[in-house]
Amino acid sequence: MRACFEKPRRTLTLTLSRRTGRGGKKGFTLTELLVSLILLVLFFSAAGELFKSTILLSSGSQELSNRASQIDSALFQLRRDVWNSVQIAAAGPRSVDLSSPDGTKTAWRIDLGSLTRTDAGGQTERWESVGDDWSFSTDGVSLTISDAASAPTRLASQILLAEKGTSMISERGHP
Amino acid sequence: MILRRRRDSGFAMITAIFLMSFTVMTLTVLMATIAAQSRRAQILGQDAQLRQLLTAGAVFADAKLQSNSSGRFSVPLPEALRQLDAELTVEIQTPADEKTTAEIEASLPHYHVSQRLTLSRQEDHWRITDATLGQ
Repeated sequence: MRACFEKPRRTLTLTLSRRTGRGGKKGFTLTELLVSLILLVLFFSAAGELFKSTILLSSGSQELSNRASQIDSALFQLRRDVWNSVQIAAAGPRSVDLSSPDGTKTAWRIDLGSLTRTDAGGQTERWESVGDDWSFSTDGVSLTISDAASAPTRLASQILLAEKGTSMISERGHP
Repeated sequence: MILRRRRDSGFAMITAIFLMSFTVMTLTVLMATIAAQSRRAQILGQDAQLRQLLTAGAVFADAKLQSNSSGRFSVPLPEALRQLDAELTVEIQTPADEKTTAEIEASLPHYHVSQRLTLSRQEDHWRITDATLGQ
């Protein structure tokens, strides 16, 4: 009795855990079992969702990184080609021909979900899953790449830009 | 009784550790993705800025050649770019046989791009006949 007064909490726990059923065996009530079952289900579903999110986020992040890397690589090459072009001819929204100063042509095409570059020697370079929603257009000096998701990207030709600058100066009457 | 209490708290601790490790893992992946995208956007922005400087360098080289100047020049930049420690240098070779080359280099801290221009004299002015973008 004295011990009960000194440690009331332990006494309460003892009382709850010593619940006895039929035949004097220790056990749990149906309510306790249901509550614990519900808690377990809640925990496992939360843990499952969290696990799924982690896996999806991880793979999505990897995919995004790979895709960004592919796009950067394609744009790097396309920018180099456009930079040294003396003529930019867009045959359509999915195709553009770039003429270099030595007279050779490089063709860029978007077909079957990939972007391909074919140089004058017939060598083809392909970027899979790049350019699905791209479209090409040109104003004669630069190549504009448009897509539904982001602002258009403009790649300028240094040679054509300089020529345009020179002609604009000439038009204004300055030699 | 004490053993049972310990076993119960052990289960709760394992549960908590599991949930916390999942959360930490998710947050880490999320932060890494955001950091990578932010870094990429920063690099693309710097790259665009440097290409604009290369174009300005080409105009500068053309102007120098029209006045028969050659050599290495540091192009004066606007205050906003100077504050970013941007630099633009143009090196024009002495013309020979009505042809010359100009090396243009634009740089920001830890990042630079360059281009090599080939120019030829046609009629009374210089024209860019080749422009090769470097790194």
